[in-house]
Amino acid sequence: MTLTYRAGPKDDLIWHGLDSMTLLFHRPSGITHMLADPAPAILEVMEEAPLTAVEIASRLRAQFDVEPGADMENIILARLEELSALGLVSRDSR
Amino acid sequence: MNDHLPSESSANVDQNNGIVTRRRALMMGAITASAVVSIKPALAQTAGSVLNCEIPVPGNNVAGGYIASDGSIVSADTPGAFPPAGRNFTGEEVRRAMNGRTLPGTSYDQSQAYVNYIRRLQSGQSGFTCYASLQMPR
Repeated sequence: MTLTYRAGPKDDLIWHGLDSMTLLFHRPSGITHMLADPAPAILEVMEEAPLTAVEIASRLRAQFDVEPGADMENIILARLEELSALGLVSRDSR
Repeated sequence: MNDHLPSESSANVDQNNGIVTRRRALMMGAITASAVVSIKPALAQTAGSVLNCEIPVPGNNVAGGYIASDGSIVSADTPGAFPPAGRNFTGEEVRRAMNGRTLPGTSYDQSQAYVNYIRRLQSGQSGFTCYASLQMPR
């Protein structure tokens, strides 16, 4: 069994870009989240599909210039757990 | 949505077949570095706070002022203006009034004027926090 993550419905969120942060208003909870990289990019590439950390890393590499030498998959997993605890993504498995 | 993410832009430019593309730089950070700070709507933690909070019309800063139909504060001799409300209104009463009912003890037009005043409240004015709480999703 492989652990996957799925972002919540797009309509639940209002995005607002700031200089170095992204504000995310989560309608169901009424909570505003201030996101720093790479969390906004992770949510962006997930597109509501159930994905593993490896698949998300692959999508990020395809769309962004990722800083070299980063432990991408483990960092993505840590961010996914963080986003999951906030109700912005859900855990799944396939 | 993509326009907002991420914030940094890459200086790298690829040129393929004459097409110039820009890829944004993405800082991954450290595993232990949290990437999210959450702001909870402290103004409206409970339904009770909305039921019980109060909004004076007008607020203390303009006490004694009359309320014009558009909600602005005007002098007592202004035609069509309403006198200050005799008592504070609760958040729940204001919520109902915003949904079409009238505020207790007021005529329809008077209630509309008072609600317009409340809608114009700004941070720092009496009743603003209570009014802001009404706007919060639950």
